[in-house]
Amino acid sequence: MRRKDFLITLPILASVLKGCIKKGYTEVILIDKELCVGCGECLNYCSYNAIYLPKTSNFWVVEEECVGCGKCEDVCEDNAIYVEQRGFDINSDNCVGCGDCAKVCEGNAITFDPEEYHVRRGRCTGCGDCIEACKYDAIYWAGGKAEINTSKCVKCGDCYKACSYGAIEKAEAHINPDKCTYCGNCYEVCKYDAVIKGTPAIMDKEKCTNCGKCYAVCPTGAIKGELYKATILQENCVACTSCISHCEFGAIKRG
Amino acid sequence: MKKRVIIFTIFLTFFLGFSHLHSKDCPSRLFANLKPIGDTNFYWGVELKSFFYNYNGENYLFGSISSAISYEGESSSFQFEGIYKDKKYTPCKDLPEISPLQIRRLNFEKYLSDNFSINLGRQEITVATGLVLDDFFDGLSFKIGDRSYLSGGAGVYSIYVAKEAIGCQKCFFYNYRPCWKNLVHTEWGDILMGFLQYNLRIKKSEYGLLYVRSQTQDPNMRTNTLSLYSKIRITRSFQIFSEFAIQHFDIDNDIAYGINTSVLKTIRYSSFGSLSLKLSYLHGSTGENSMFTPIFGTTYFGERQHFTVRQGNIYGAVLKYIPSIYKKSSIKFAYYLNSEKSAFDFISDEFDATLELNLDKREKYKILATYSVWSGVYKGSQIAVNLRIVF
Repeated sequence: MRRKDFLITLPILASVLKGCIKKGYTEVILIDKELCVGCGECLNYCSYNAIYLPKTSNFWVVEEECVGCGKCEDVCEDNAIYVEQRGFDINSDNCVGCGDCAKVCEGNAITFDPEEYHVRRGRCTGCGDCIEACKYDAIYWAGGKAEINTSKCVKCGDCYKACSYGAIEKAEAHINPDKCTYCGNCYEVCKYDAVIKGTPAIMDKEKCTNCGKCYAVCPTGAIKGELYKATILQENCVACTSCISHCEFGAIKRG
Repeated sequence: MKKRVIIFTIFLTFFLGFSHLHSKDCPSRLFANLKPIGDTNFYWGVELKSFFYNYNGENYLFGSISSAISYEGESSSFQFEGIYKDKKYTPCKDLPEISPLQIRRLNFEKYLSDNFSINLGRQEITVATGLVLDDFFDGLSFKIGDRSYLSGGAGVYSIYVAKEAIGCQKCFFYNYRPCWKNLVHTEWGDILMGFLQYNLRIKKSEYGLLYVRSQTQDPNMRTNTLSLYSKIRITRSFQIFSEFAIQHFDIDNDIAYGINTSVLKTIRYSSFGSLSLKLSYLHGSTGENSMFTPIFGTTYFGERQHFTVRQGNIYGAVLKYIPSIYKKSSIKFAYYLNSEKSAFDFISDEFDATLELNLDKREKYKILATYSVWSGVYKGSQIAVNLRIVF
């Protein structure tokens, strides 16, 4: 127990502090309704019945909105949340490296490796299927085999799909999970179903203590809640600030 | 885990490679699905194949594991593939035992310029419809040109890797093709070959001239073959393939000729899928003393009528349907009729029904089931199931 908390629990000191209130020495404690998740944790640390919360909030996951980033799983101390596959990933079979995802990525999290299309000449049989498939005249003949003019190539992936011999090496997007903001723009914009969304988080209501940490960290608003907000009863508050130090969401502040 | 798989592949490849310079061909998707080793220009892959046959009520089982490593650089490439094959209850009783451990590919290709490359080692060469040239050989080849090109090569016919040798399920055929039976007994180095080809591309069609020289220990098989071929794409859904070859036999200056031609028409409906019809005709003539015998060619006609080219006339009709709901699958019905009625009438006609199922776009996971029934001297029926997995 911290020294301050200990002192507040002493009846004599409490009465002194109450006296201070009456004399106007105390600060005003306020609750930011935007940040409060109604977890009720502050109630445990208020010795003066100065916080009013009609009911503890409770939370659930909306699967359609969840991108499986796993942030909720990380913060849940009660192991009540499970995410099987996390965050966004690229299905390399479908990705043609067109670059649409990189243009809309909010976190600059998408890189390309390889960056350009390329013919593996050792595997090219010179069948010409890729040349026929290319609508942009970006493939030409060289030594009876295909070769790609990268300045004309728009990375549509048609040549890659047309080649039966695995001779076309395509450009391919990769997502850096450290930079990903889970905005989901890449998923929305991809025409080739190449962006894979993580599996939705699964919440075990038996284990959930409604602490609200998952609600607070969810970047896509996929965790919804039946929300109640706490209120400071100023007539009881002695401004001991214990509630401030125990609120993990930073919702309680000095006035 | 991935590292261990790569190390295992490298070990397996070299282990298989140094065992024996023998191999046989089976349809493979290994080189189309190689994966890079880290950030290097090296690639690796492993392929498992299994063939189950019920032939006239008897069961046969073949299986193989192939392992490959390739290097694909800017100015050169290198390919290496080893294979282990095993068989149980096979009917290939009269054929020589060949080591189950073999090399299928071992070649180095150097790109001397954008338009000129040379290839050294065990390699595959396919020209036109495959009537005259479609096989493996050990030697040197070159290719020069851009859109149209000149290519040529010379070397030793890789008889144990040959597509028409005892590979996969195809050994049945050699049981009743005496001349090929003799050929698979041939030792490595007994057959030398050289070829020169000019391939001309006009729009989306190809035309060409091919010359092949066969120099064998057997004087009956010393031949010069000249082939004129075309692959004409009138539209994307209508194509005509044809090859006409003349063969000259040194021993008696006899002349024979072969024709392989087909027409392919595809009709596509977005809601229904696609329907393809292929009509084909194959003919091999008989000279005064000889018959058309393209040692390095393969022409696939049905599951059982898998002839290189035989004398007489074979007509084929294949109807293939790819449903729009699952484009990775297909159903195929084929009928082949051999109009030649002679002592060599092993198969008069054949009907095949095939169901093909690919579990992915790159055909790494494939299931192929075929029911065949045929008439003739060796009439019978067969159910075949092929499985393929590429890692």
